[in-house]
Formats: sequence, structure tokens, C-alpha cells
Amino acid sequence: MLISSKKSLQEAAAGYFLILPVILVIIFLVIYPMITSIYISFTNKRLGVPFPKITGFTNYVQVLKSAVFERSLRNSIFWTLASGILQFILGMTLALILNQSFKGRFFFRGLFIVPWVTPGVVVAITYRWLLNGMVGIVNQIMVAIHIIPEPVGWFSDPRLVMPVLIYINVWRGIPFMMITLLAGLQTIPVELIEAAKADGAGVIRRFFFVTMPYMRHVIFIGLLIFTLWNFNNFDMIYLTTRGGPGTFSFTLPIMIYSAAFEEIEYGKAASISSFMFIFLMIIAMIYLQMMSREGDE
Amino acid sequence: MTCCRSFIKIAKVLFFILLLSFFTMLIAFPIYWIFASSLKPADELFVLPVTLLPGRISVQNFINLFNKTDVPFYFFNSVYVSVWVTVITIAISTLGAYSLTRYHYAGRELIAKLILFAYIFPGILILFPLHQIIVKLRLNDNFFGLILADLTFTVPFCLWMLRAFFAQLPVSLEESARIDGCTKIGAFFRVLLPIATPGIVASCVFAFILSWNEYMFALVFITKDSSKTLPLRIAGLLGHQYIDWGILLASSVIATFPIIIAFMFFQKYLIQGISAGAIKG
Repeated sequence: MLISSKKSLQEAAAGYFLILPVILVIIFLVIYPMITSIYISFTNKRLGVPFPKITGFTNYVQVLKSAVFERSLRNSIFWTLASGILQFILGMTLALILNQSFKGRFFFRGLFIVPWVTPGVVVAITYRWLLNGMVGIVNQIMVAIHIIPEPVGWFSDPRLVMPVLIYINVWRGIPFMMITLLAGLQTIPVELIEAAKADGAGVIRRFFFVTMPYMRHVIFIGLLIFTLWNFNNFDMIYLTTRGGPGTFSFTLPIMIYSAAFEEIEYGKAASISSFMFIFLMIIAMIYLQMMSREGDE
Repeated sequence: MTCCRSFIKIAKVLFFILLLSFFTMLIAFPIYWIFASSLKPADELFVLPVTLLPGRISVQNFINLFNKTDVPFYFFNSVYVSVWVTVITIAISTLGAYSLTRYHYAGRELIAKLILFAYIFPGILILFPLHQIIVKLRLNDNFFGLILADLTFTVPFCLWMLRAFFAQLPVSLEESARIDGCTKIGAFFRVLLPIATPGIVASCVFAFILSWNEYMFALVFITKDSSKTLPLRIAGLLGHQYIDWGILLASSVIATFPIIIAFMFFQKYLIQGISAGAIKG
């Protein structure tokens, strides 16, 4: 087909025009603020400093030395890995269940999505109520069946708070993972499964040698999205414990928020943001590496 | 032996039912608990041992909610913000997705990668810089500032999803429309949009739900009480020294209710949306 050069120029212009609003949003609301943040991280901008000066890497050094940062980083990594793995395992299990055709399947599919569409604040309230030290039903039941001798302070015990928060986060994230994996499961050609069955492969074998390999791409995308989503998550922890007790449930996002809006130390907040950004780039690069390796196979 | 085979079959079914019940409990019980607890009268709420079903159904908590607090007012704030975010997001995203799938120009794939970058970009990193910009523009405590902030995550998300949707639709229909004398933009409105309706509905639902549940930007951008969104206001109730659980539970029900309703009607679209994004990646 012969396209006159004028027409293709027109078409290109129209194309650019249509995508322009999106690009403007990204440049002004994402890229520009981020660059601002990087600049601020090299200054001493904080409450009481009307004219911030460049201070070089001071903020970065101070952050690296702080114990709260070490705790936040450790919590962030623990949180991201544990949440991701559990969300995957449970999401996969539910996807496999929903992949079977049985009566009421669509009802359950709808039911299992509810945790994801519920507002974060409601989830926080729900679990604070369920795990309430005095009148929470979970404590009640556990004491009644003698798992624990007396009610536990789920949110006040520094050793329990992160695992509990992770559980809540997993509960919230399962639906999205489940739907993503279910979509992948439903692309597997029936003949492949039938062939494996005919070859005498049992359920477990079929799963690991037929299902999983076929869904590699979808699983990969799912894990990537969730790793990022979990790592960047602020809402769930802040709404449930504000990072408490003390700073025991601090993760990197919480620490950034606390530095910027509670301590009003913008330089500090910006430097933690830079660290987090570097960390994310590392994660992204690892994934890209793995993805290009997948493509070569 | 046949009886052995049917035994295994029954065992499988039993196992399946067990698994299903277990997960249903795990997922549904917390939700049920909030609803049930909100309907308990105050004297039953704090009494031990805890009752699974409310002994007496009481709407006192809801009455208190409406009388003692102004929470219902914030309901409308949230609606206002979410509707605007949805409208703007859909307008920008459909055009953008159309551009990315039906037009050819230099740097198209680069722009797609830029959008992916924005999609995975953490909101927390731009929280305080964006806040400073908004304050400078005097847009804090103004819904418009919050709407802009919400766009930073709804637009990349919906754009990515719509792009996957549009890519799946055959070009032939638009081409035949153009042969019949339609302009490219005309083909967009008259041919593509009608067929792409499921994808667009999915995007609307997503944009609405995401902005309704949004907390972080609202927390920072809105400090004036009267401009707060619902999740923000309710979270404020949670932070107090003395927590009125009755009201808190009732307000949770109110906050979740529209989402559940919207969700019941649009479940199909939601799932289609997530699935499309999962496959195309």
C-alpha cells in the first residue's frame, strides 16, 4: 500500500497528539517530582531552614548509620519476600480450585475477590477488631481451644507485629494474584493436559511439568507486579499500626513518610527515597535479566 | 478394583470441599465479622464470650454514626473525587491506548516503556515533592490537587490495560469503516469504542475503585476536615486514644458498601481487565 509521506506525517502528528495528555501527566506528576526529590536529598532542607544549602552526601551517610533505617530495610525485604511467596502459593491454590468447573464456581470467584476491592482502612479496622487484645474473637477462640494460655497483643508485641501485618497483606493481595494466575491457567490447551494424563502423569506431576512451565510468562508477570506492589506498599502498615509499636513495623515507605511529614526532615526523606529507588532499579534489572533469559530459551 | 477407584474419587471430592471451605472461611470470615459486629448492640459488642451471630440485631451503631459524626458527608467527597478521576482517566487513557495501538510513529515503543515505568513507579517516592508542588500552587485541600495525584496511578494502570484490550481487537473493522469514508478519529468513536466497551467499563471500574480506596495522597494533600475523603476520615477515627468501635464498624460498612455493590454488577469486567493485563503483560 502506497502511503503518501504527507499522510504518514499527519498520522504521526495525530498519534503524538493523542498520547500527549498521558505524557504530560507522567512528566509533570511523576518525573519532575522525582528529580526534585533527588535534588533535595543533597540539601539540608528541613523545618526551620528557610534557605536550604547543598550539603552533599551528608543525608545519605546519616541515613545509612541510623538504626531505624536498618530496621526499615530489613522489614521491607522480609515483608516483600514473605508476602510475595505466600500470595503466590495461596493465589495459585485458589486459581487451581477455581479452574475446576463446579457448581457455584462464579459465586466463589466473586467472593474471593472481595479482599482486594475492600478499602485499605476497612481492612485495617477489620483486623484490629478481629485481633483485638481484649474483645477480639481470634484471641477468644485460641484461648478456648488452648493454643495460647491468654490473649495475645498481636499489634503490641514487637516480634508478632510484622508477621501479622504480612498475613493481612497476603489476605488483601490474594485475589489479584488469583485472577492473574487463573487467566494463565485458562490459556493452557486442554489437549496438553489430556496428553499428560494419557502418559500416566498424576496430578502433582502434571502441575509441575505441564501447568507451571506453560504459565511461566504469566507467573513471571504476576511475581514482578507483586514484588513491586508489596515493596512500595504504604497504606496497609500505616493504617494498621502507623509503623508501631514504636518503629518495629517500619518499612522504607513508612520511614520516608515519617521523615517528611512527622519529623519534617525533607533532606532525610529524599535520601531514603533515593535508596529505595536504587533498590527498585536493582529488582527491576534482576527481573529484566531473567526475562531476557526466558526469551532466549 | 472398582470400589477402590470410587473411594479415591470420593476422597478427592471431599478434599476439594475441605479446601474450598477452608479458604472460604479464611477469606470471608473477616468480612462477615465486620458486618455482623456492626449490627450488634453496644452491650453485646464488648461482652465475653463473643457471639458469632448477633443476639439482637441493632442499628444503633449506624444511628450513632449519622448523629454523632459527620462521616456520611465525606461519602460525597469521595464520590466527587472518584468520579472526576474516573472521567479524566478514561478520556486520557482511551485516546492514549488508541494512539499506541493504531498509529505508527517514531518512539512509540519508547513511550510504551515510559508508561510501564510510570506504572511501577512507587507513589511514596513522589509523595512529598508532589505535595510541595501542590502547596505552591495552592491546590492543597482542594479536590483538584488530589485528583491530579490519583491520576499518577490510575492513568498508567488503565492505559496499560486498555492497550492490551485494543491490541486484541481486529483492525479490519476500522479499516472497512475508513474505506467507507470514515476518518480515523471517526472510526475510533463509531467502530472501536462500541466493540471495546467491556475493556472501557473495566477501566472505569478500576479507576473508580482505586481512587475510592486511595489513602496515602489524601492523607497528605487534604488536611481541612471538610474536604476529607471517606477512607481518610474513617482512618482518623481509628487513630484516637479512645476508639468508638461501634461507630468505626458502622462506618466501615458504609465505606465498603458501594464498592461491593459496584463490584457485584461489574465483576465480570474487573476480571476481564485483570486477565487481559496478565496475558499481554
